[in-house]
Parts: sequence; C-alpha cells; structure tokens
Amino acid sequence: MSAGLLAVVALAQSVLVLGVLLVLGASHWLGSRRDRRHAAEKARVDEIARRLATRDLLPEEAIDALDALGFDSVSQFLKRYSAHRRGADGERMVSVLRRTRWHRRIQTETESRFWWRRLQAARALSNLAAAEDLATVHRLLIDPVPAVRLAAADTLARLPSPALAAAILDRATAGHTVVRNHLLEILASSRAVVLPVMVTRLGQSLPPWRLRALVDLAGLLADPRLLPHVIAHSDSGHLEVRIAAATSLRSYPHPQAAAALRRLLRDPAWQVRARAAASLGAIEAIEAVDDLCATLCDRNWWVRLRSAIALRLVGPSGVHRLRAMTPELDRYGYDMACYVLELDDAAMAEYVGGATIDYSGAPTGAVAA
Amino acid sequence: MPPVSVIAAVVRGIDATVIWYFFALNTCYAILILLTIPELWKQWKEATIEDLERYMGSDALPPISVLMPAYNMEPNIVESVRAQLTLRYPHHEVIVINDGSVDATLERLRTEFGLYEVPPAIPRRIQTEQVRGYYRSRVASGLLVIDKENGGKADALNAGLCAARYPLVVAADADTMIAEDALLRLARPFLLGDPVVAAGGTIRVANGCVIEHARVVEPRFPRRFLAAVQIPEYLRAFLFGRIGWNRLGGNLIVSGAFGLFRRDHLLDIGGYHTGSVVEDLDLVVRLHEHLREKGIEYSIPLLPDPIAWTEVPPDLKTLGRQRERWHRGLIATMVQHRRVLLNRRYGPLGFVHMPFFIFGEMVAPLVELIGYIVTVIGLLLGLLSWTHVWLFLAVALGYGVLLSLWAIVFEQATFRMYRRRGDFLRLVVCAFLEPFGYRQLTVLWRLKSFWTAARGNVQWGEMKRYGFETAESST
Repeated sequence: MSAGLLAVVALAQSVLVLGVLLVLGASHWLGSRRDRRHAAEKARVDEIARRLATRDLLPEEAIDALDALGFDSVSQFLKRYSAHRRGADGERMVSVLRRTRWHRRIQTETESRFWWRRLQAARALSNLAAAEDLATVHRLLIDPVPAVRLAAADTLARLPSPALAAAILDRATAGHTVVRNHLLEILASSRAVVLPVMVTRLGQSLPPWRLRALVDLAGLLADPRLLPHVIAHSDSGHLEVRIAAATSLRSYPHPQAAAALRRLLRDPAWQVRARAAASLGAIEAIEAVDDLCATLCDRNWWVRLRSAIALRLVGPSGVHRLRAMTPELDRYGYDMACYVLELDDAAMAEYVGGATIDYSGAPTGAVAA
Repeated sequence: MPPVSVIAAVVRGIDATVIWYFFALNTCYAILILLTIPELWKQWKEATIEDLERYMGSDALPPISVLMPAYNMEPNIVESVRAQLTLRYPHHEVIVINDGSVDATLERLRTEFGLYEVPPAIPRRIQTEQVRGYYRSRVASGLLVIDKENGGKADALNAGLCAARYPLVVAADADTMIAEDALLRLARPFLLGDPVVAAGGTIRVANGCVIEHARVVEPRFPRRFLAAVQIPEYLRAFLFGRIGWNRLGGNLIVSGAFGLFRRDHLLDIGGYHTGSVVEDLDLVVRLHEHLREKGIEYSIPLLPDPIAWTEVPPDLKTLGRQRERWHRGLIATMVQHRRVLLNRRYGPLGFVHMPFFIFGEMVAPLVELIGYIVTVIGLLLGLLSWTHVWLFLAVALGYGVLLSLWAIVFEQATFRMYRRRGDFLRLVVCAFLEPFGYRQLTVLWRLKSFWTAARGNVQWGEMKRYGFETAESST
C-alpha cells in the first residue's frame, strides 16, 4: 500500500477523531443539561404534588402548572397522583386533564410508530381513560410490543368492561409465559368483571394452550363457581391443562378438590404429580396422607420433594409418617423425608411459596436421583 | 533472483497483508458500531421507561437462582452474600458454593447466617467433586450453602446448577458487586416476549468507586493509571462490541462475572466444562451449538443497563495473568469448536461469530507482532521509509483511539456513569493514552497465551485482589 493512500486514511481518521471529540463534548454538555432539566422537572412535579395534597392548588391550577413540563413528567405525575388519590379527587383531576391538550397528545401518541411513545400513552390512558377510549385501549391490546399490551390491560381497573376483560383474557391465553402471567395478575385483580367471562369461557371447547391460561386464572381467582370447571379439566388429555388444574386446585380447600388431586397423584406425568402433591399440602388434605406416603417414594425427585413438604404441611399425622420412613422402605424417600424434617419454618415457607411459581416458561427437567 | 530482492518482496508483501488485515478488521468494528447505534438506542429507551416498581410487586417474573462460587473469600463473603440476598427481585435464591476454601469462609457464613446442615437430598445431574454438605440458613430462607471439595469455578457452578430450584440461574462471582436493580433489568427481555436463553449484563470497573456494604454507591474514576486505562477497554467491549452482536444472531460471550441463563438448557449441555479456563465463553459457544442443532429459536442478548461492578487488576503482574488466561481460553475454545467454522448447519455462528473471533480476535496479536517485526526489518533494510512507518502507526493506533472515543460517546449519550467533569476528562485522556504502551503490553500477554495454550496449560494463575475503597474510608 502506498504512503499516499496511508496519508489519506490517516488524514480522514484525524478528521473523524476531531469530529468524534466534538460529538463527545456535545453529548457530555447535552447530557448534563438533560440531567439538570430532569432534576428541575422532578422538583417541580414534587412541588405540585405536595401543594395538591395540602389543597394549596386546585386540579385546574395544577394542570396549568404542569403545562410547561414535558410529556414524560406529566405522565409520571399522573401515575403518582392516581396511585395515591383515587375517588372524587382523582376523578376531578382526570376530568380536568381530559379537557387539556395533554389528552389529545396522549390520543395521538397511541398511534405513534415508536413503541415507547405508545407505551407512555397506554400508561397514561390506564389512569385517565373513559368509556369513549375503549376502542383505543382495544387497539393497544393487540400492539406487537408486550409492554404496551400490559399497560393497556391496566386500564381494566379503571374501566371494568366485560368486553375489555374478554379481550385481555384472549391476549393472556395467547401470550408468552411472563406476559401471560402479568395479564392474569391484572385480570385477577378485577374479579367482579372477570368472573362471568371466566364461567363462560371455561365451559367452551378451546385449544389446550388457551385452556391452560384459563385454568391458571381460575386458581388466582379462587372462586367456588369455578371449581367444577377446574375439576373437569383435571381429566384433560393435555398435559399442560392437567398441570394447570393440579396447580390451581391449591386455591380450593374442598373435599372435591382433594379427591381430584389424589387422582392426579397417579398421573403418568411427573409434573402433574409434583404439583398435585404441592396442592394437597397447601390445602392440608389430611385424607391424602396415604397417597402422599406413596408418592414420597416416587422415582422423580420433585415429586418426592413436594410429597414430603405436603406431608409436613398436613400436620402431625403427616410428620409422623415422615418420621416413620426408613431406608429399608425406600432409600430416596427416606433421604427426602430427612431433608424436609430438617428444614426450619422459614425454609418451609420459602418452599411453599415456590410451589406457586409457574416454571413452565423454562421447565426444569425430570430428575431421578 | 538476488536474496535482497526476495527479502524485499517478502517484506513488502507481508507489510501490505498486515495493512489490509487491519483495514478488514477495522471495517468489521465499524460495522459493529453502526449496528450498535440503533440497538443501544432501543435498549436505552427500554431501560429508561422501565417500570421497575411494578415488577417488584409481581409474581409474573420467572424466579432466579443466583450462583456464587467462593474460594477463600473469608474477608468479604458475608457482605457479598448479604448484598446478593437483598437484590431487588420478587423471587430469588442465593446459592453459595464454597469450593474447598482453606480459610474460614464457611465458618463465617455459618456464624453470620445461622447455617444448619440438611441431608443431601439434592439431585446431581452433573458430576462434580464431592459435596461435603448442604446448609440452609435460619436467618435467610433464600440462602443455600454448598460445601464441596475444591474443583475450580466451573465445577462449583455445576454443583450450584444441580441444586438450583428455579428455572433461571445467574452466575456471579463472589467478588462482583451486582447493582441492586440489576436482576429486574436483566429479566426485561422476558417481559418483551423474546425467546431468551441467556442474557448478559454489563461489567464495569469498580476500582476507585465509593462502596458501601458491597454495593457501589458512587461511580468514580480510578486514581491508578493501570485501572483507569482499562475503563475505555471495558466500555468498548460492552457498549459496542457486544451490543452490536445482539443484531447479528446473539452474543458469543456472556460474562462469567454476571450472566443469566436458562437452567434447563445448561443441564442439557452438561453444565460448565471444568477443563476450560474461560468457562463463560466455552459455555455460550456450546449453548449456541446445542440450540442450533436442536433447531430451537433463541436469543442471547447483552443488556447495557443491568450492571455488575468488578475489581480490575491494578498491577501489571495480575493483569498480565488475566489477559493471558482470557486469550488462552479463547484459543482453546476456538480450536475445540473449529468444526463450527463455515459450517452451514450453525448459521451466523459458523459464518459470522467464529470467523470474527478466530481471524479478528484470536490471531490479531500474531498479526500485530508480525507487523512490528516487518516494520523494523523494512526500516533496517531501507525498504520502508520513516514516513510510511509513521503513517501506518498513526492509522493503526489512531483507529484504536477512535473506537474508544465512540464507546465514550455511547456512554455519555445514554447511561452517563461518569458525570463529574474531571472523571469525564480523565476518561477521554485514557482513551488517547491506551494505544501507547498499554496496548503493546496486552499484545505481549496475548502472544504468551499461544505458547501456554500449545503446552495445554489449564491453570488460572493467582489473581491478587486488593479490595475496595469503602464509603467510610473515602470520607
């Protein structure tokens, strides 16, 4: 390569270095300015929130004061305000805000091609939506970005509409595990509007992946009207539905639920047996002690663990059976019984809490010691 | 042909090859920078609008097991474990694996956390050195301590992997300080519905920072030059090197100091290789291979905002050992997985990742050495002019400066860890100084690794730790 070409490259590179240095200086300066502006806006929002709380400011005045701030700050303010001041005060603020340019801006942003803007708008809408915004919320519910869908689903707490609940339920049954769990949580917190929809849906013939989410939600809702449906689905030919039923039945301390769970303890799939054992422990099904003793010697580690924990949760009769376990009866069952008997209450509580966690997003493998 | 002409032709040929090699390599880096810009922007937007408070109150996030191998960590182990236990995440457990420490690591844990031994009813899907005991804590229900014979970091991680109860595991060094919200941030791709099998956080330099209870409370620039000059290197590696790879089929490196993995896939590939000196690189390459072979859709992103702070070696001896080991591990991994190279079955792994890591990263110090030798010979024989040499050095070393400056631009435009003007200026100065002396030293250490790799050395070498400045000591 000639020195001439190298000289050209070196020169171009020097110019680039100088250019990058300028960009660097500018980004440092802009960054500092951005930090100062954010700090000032935050202080302003805090001040407005404080004066609102002490009733030094009327909602109309507060909105006027917010006018000079950016969209993000107004969104943050709205979120904070609605979290602390529901009821008449909150509604007055919302009705004032809906008449301002912010509301029009939020409406526009819901159609932005940038997902983070749609997300901000969806979050804002969840705090100030009215019935006429339902169409917008429905549109956001089918947004390609899950975070936007979640923010839109939050509107259900504000607008308890059966149609919206049904739409969220549809999204929940079709989504990725973590997103689905978030949506189910949102639905579970609006039980009054969700229950009638659930009763209808659980009675329909649906694909297993949708049924599974419905049965999961039935567990979160823990409503007696849903119990017969959950029990009916515990006989499903699809593994994931049976897993969901075995998990959900832990929310139903009822003899019928215990009977279904005892049947599930004999399921060919270890995932179902493990969850059934955990649920029997959770509902303290004393009548299942013999069945749990049998599964304490299961070939799968998780089933043995969950059975042993369930026996300890059942009470003295279960603990007695754990103590009666000997290596001669079953070496692995004996090891597990010793392990669980040694656990202190805090560790037990942690194990019991862990039993409610949905592992299906990343299944742990079957383990036979 | 007279011998001098032959030598001249060879010298000129090698000189031209070296120059074109650097141009090709630098073009790859330029492409990485271009890919980084939209990716970093996207990640930054996601990070800044994240609603972490909401996640904290949710059961929807997948629970995580944090694996902490510990070897002779007596002075810091209690604070480190406390820091991991108090990470903000709805459900996580901490598994400390005492890897045959010869100091009082286990005793300190036993005293501080009220450990009690539990029977060994833990499944062992991967063979490890013998486990001496499992301990649970009376004061921290989310803590499990495994005491085992010494078998190295990979073996310790395998023991932790077997005992982990949750579907996601985070491998973290016991002396790495994970930021309080880092687990929440690391779980973000799951909320966005990505098919994530592993995700890497960003490692930043903790030397010089103000630290309180094993947490960085105020990022500061290190006072010692050797630690400071590594900051542009880390920024380059994480802020555009690896983030750019997110857009090219995922990363090949998820740092062993702080990375999240799906446990089931790790078990499927048999966990960490105990024979590897860079177990993180080897693991991710095997993970890529496994997922490609099985036809599983996956992503292995690096996220810029979940941060873990680590102490970088502030002395030449320790730094030399570290860099030699890293490069030895790279050579061993690339040689071991050479069948992937240009293999259609492995897609981008075979056609993009492996060629870049072999021809760009692995052989780069060799080419650089050849370049220096040829330049000297060329000068001695009068085949190259001083002008040519100076121009070449200006281009080769200047490009390094340019890359470091870009990394600093990315940092300043987004997360701005070094906000104080003095720290910022020192960072820029370090970017200019790095190619003069420091870079040649790293070339030397990496060259040494070819020799040690050829001898089959699998030793880590002693890594001297100096400890951190605490908030108390800095005030």
